[in-house]
Amino acid sequence: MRASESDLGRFSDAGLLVLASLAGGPKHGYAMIADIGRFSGTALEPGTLYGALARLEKAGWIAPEPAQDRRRPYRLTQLGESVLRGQLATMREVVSTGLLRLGQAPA
Amino acid sequence: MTPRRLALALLRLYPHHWRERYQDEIRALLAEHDVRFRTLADLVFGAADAWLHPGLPSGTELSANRRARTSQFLACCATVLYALALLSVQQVRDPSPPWLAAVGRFPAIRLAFDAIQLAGGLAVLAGLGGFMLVTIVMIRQAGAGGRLLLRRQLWLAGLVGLGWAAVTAISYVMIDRRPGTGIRPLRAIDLFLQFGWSLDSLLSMLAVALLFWRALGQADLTASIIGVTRCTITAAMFAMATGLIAMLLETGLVLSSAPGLIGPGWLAVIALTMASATVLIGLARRHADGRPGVGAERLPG
Repeated sequence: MRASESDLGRFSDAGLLVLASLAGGPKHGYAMIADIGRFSGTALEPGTLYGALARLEKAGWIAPEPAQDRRRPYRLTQLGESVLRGQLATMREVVSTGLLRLGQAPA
Repeated sequence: MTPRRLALALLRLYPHHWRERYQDEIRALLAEHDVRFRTLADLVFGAADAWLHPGLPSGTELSANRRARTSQFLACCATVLYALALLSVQQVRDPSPPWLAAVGRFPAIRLAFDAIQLAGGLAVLAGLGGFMLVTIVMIRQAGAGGRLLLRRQLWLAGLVGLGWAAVTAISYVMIDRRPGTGIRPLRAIDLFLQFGWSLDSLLSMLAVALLFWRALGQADLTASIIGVTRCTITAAMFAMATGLIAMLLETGLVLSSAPGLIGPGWLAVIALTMASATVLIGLARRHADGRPGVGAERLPG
C-alpha cells in the first residue's frame, strides 16, 4: 500500500465503501449513503461521508462533477479505480484464506 | 428546535473554507437524510476533524499567515475558557456539609454522594480534554509555519501560561475562607505555592507544544530558536509527563479527600464553560474568516 493510502486514517473503511459505491457510476452524497446502506448494511452519516470524500478527493481517487442544483455528484478517477482494484484483491485474498482455514471452500 | 435544524446549525462549527466547499451539498443531503442523535454526534466529530486537518478539503489550504491568526485567537479562547471555568469554580458554594450530615443520618445516601463526586471528577477531566483539543488545534494549524511563526507561537504559549498562572492565583484568593467552611485561612506561602503549581502547568503546556513540534520534525529548529539543546527539550518532555501525572493525582486527591470542591455546582460550571466555548469558537471562526491575509507582510507565507 502506498503511503498516501494510509493517510485516510480512521476514514479508510468509509473511503473504501465510497470507492465501491462510485464504481457503479457517479453519485451525490445522499445516493452514496443509500447505495452503501444497500450493499454493505453500513449506515454512513454525513460527517463521516464528507470527511472521507475530502480525503479521497485530495488523494485524487475521486473527482467532483458539475453541481446539479445543490447536489454535487462525484465520480471515480482512473487512479481511484486502480486503488480500489488493489484493495479488493487484498480483501479477496483475506476472505479466501479465512474461509479455507474455517474449512469452507471460497465461493 | 428540530433535529434537522440542529444539524444545520451544527454545520456552523466547521471551518469557513470547509463550509465554502461542502456546506451546500451537506445541506441538500440533510434535507433528505433521517436526522438522529448519531447524525448530530457525527457532525460534531466531523467538525473537530475538519479543524484538526486544515489541509482538507483539497485546494483550500490555509496560508501560514491565516493559520497563525487562527491559532493565536484559538489560544486566546482557550485562556479565556480556562479563566472562566476557574473563576466559576471558586464561586461554587461548598455543598459537602449538608451532604455529610445527611450521610451521617442515612448511610445509603453515600452512594449518591460518591456518584456526584465521580461525575464532577469526570467533568474536570473532560474540561482538561477540551483544553488540550484547542491546544492541539493551535499547534497543528501553526505547524506549517517558519521560524518567525514558531517564535511567535512560543511567545504566545508563554503569555498564555503566565495568564493561566495569574488567574489560578487570583481565583485561589477568592475561595470563601469564612469560619465554618472547612477551608483554612490564606497564608502567603499558599499563594506562592499556587503560583508555582501554575508555572508547572505552564511548563507542561510548553512541553506539550514541543512534543508536537518534535513530532513534526522541528525539534532541532525549536532548540536553535530558543537557544537550548535537545537535552533541554527532553527535560521539557519530562516536565510534561510530571505535569500530567500531577493533574491526575490532584484530581484523585480532590475526589478522595476534598469532596467540598466537587459537587452539584460543577454542573453549572460545566454548563457555563460549554456555553462560553460555543460563543468563543464562533468568534474564533468569524475572526479567522473575516480578515484573511492581514499582516502578510510580517509573516512568512
